Amino acid sequence: MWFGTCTMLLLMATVWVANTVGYLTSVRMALQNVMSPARLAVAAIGSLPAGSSATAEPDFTDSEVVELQNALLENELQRRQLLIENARLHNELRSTKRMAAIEAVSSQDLVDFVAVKAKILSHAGLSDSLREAFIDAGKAQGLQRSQLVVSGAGLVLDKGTDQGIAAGQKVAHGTAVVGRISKVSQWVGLVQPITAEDFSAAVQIVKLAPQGASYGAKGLLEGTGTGGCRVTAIPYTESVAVGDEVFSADIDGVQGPRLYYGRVVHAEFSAGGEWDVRVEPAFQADTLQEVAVVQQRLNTARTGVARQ
Amino acid sequence: MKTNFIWLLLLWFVLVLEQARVDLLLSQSLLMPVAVACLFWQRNGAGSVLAGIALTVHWLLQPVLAPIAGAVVLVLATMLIARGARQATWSPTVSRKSMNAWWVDPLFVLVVGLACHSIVSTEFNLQTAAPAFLSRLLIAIPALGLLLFASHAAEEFGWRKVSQM
Repeated sequence: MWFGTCTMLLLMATVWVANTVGYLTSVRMALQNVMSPARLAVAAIGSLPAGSSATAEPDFTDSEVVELQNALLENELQRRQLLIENARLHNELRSTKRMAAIEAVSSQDLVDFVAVKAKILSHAGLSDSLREAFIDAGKAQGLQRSQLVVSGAGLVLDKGTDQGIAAGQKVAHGTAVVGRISKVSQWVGLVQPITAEDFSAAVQIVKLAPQGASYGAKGLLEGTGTGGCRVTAIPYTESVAVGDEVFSADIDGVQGPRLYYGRVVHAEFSAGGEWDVRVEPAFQADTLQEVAVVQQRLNTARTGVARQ
Repeated sequence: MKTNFIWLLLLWFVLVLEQARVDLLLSQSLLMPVAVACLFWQRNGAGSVLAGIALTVHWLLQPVLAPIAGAVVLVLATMLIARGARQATWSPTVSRKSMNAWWVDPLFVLVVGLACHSIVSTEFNLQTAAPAFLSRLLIAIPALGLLLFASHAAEEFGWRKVSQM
């Protein structure tokens, strides 16, 4: 008997670890699916009114029965999604509590995020007059054309490699993401807006509820090329609703302050089992005068100590 | 083999019932007494495996902090069953203390298991755990009593062979 008990203890420990890591979501879904028919049957029996029996003639018409069955299945699907979401939030809460304890004894952050302010020179690429002016000024300093001008459509900023601007850095207006530096020269930088067709970034949906905000699904924000954005790669088990807010999941692959992308204006679960989520950006490009380029920098105080 | 199959069916049915009527049944209030009864009825490795799997599946479907309650139930039940088996061994030279009443050990395991589950599921908030524990006991004790009575009656009438470990 001890052998059986020890085996089960080992199984429990394995399941616990796997669940903590997040490997068991699909297993949980499979279990829910296996149990669904029996559970629906039990629920249906349990919901019969007092005094009636399973063999009693129903008072519903066929169409009403079909409607009720559909509603029951929809509720079941929703219940599963809520169950998984609940479990995930429990995990997040536990890890947050652990992290809070760790942060309490740690000192300074290794990586800081700073915002370099930049004025917008143009909303539609580098103008010819500026291009010529840059080339003339650069020739005097022995710089080549490729080091001076950037080609392409989008916002042109008055900051370049001289100020530490580099391709890929996020550009924000307040906390709202405007786009990403796509090309950079000595003195200017070109911004690819988040609505551009080639733009993509890791995002996380934040749901607003009366009891407070909570993190939702992670996905990939892509520009539509027509002034809007969409979020793809959201698992079918997650829930998304109109009005949810969209924040960055990380900054250039590094965890940092959460920047805001916009609000969900359309969320539909298609018959193919995928979410169609549309996002309205949080800024209007035409009205922008000044933006900030978000850069990550190593904490020199800490790296200096480490070298000694 | 037949007994194992019947217990498997019973545990599965209870698992489904708890999942279907979460509005009426607090988690583990029905599954745990059945798992404890299974352990004390079978008194062998098969009972441990069946009860362990049922408790693990339940934890997977309704995860709490950790499957501590299931582990506690399995270890405690195995310890008590092993101790009972040692005490039941007759020896002409050694005088042993008489065994507890037949219902004490399962009840003890159930109470400890439910207490653990209530505490863990409320994330160690004892103020919330206490009423939840009492509510679970109200369902679990009659269920366990019924199963233990059936087990004892089966032994008395000779319908069940008592095997030792």
